[in-house]
Amino acid sequence: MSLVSFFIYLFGAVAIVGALGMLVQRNPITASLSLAVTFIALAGIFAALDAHFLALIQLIVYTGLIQVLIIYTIMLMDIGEEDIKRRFNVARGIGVLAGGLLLVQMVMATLRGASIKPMPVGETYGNMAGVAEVLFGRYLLPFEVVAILLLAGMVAAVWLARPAGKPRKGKSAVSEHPTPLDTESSVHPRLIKR
Amino acid sequence: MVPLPHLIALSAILFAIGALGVLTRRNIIVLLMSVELMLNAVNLAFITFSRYSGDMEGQGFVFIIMTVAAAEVAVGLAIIVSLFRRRESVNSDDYTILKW
Repeated sequence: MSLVSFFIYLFGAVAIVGALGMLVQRNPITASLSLAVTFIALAGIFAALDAHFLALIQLIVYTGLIQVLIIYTIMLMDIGEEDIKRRFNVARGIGVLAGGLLLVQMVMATLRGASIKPMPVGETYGNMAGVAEVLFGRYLLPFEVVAILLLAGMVAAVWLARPAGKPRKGKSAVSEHPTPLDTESSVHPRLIKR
Repeated sequence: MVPLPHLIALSAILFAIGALGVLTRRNIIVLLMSVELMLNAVNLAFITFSRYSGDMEGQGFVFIIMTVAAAEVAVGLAIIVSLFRRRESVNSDDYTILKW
């Protein structure tokens, strides 16, 4: 077994362990850190598959941005541990059954597939120049659309997370634009105070 | 190098674990993380096929998926923060106002 194969199997095992950790951990912080381990292991696999640029992007975007953002949000909210083994729940039982079936089915289907030898790749394969050739060549339009999507996502995030009920010119924003959630009886006291 | 089915099986396992997380967990932040895991499993399949076919196009798709994931998590977390402010809960069982 070559060194590259060894590392792919090693990182693959780490990725599965991290993902299972996310699945069974009750504390959301521990779960998100387990998932970060999975993302780092996947970055290792990407690097072993000659996708060097995307391995770096994986590290920066997934572990550096997404996981950190999730952990920040968890810390903002002061939430406790989730009670996983509360009681038998029919919906959860069906979920476990469906998920288990999906797992078995997909693994059986994929392992039966035929293997091909990896093609020899050129010098720009997987580095920044190669990715740029794809993104700025044939897929320029999707690339531009994704840029607009990022902008829309940013605007949506700012608007959704705005402080609700902040007084604006004497009137509160909540009463100006009531949403179904605002008019409910279970409005959080902090919201009413403002 | 590793046989192709092994890598695709790893991708399938990660995807199924993500699906299991979405179906069984009740914490909405963990649900979001499970969706991220599923997206990443698909990325692995894309990169594997890209490497074995010697074609860079799959990596372009992965780049775009990562961008979509970043936008998705930003909007998703904003929604969760906004929900939490109103209900003080991240348990998906507590959000039943759309139930008829």
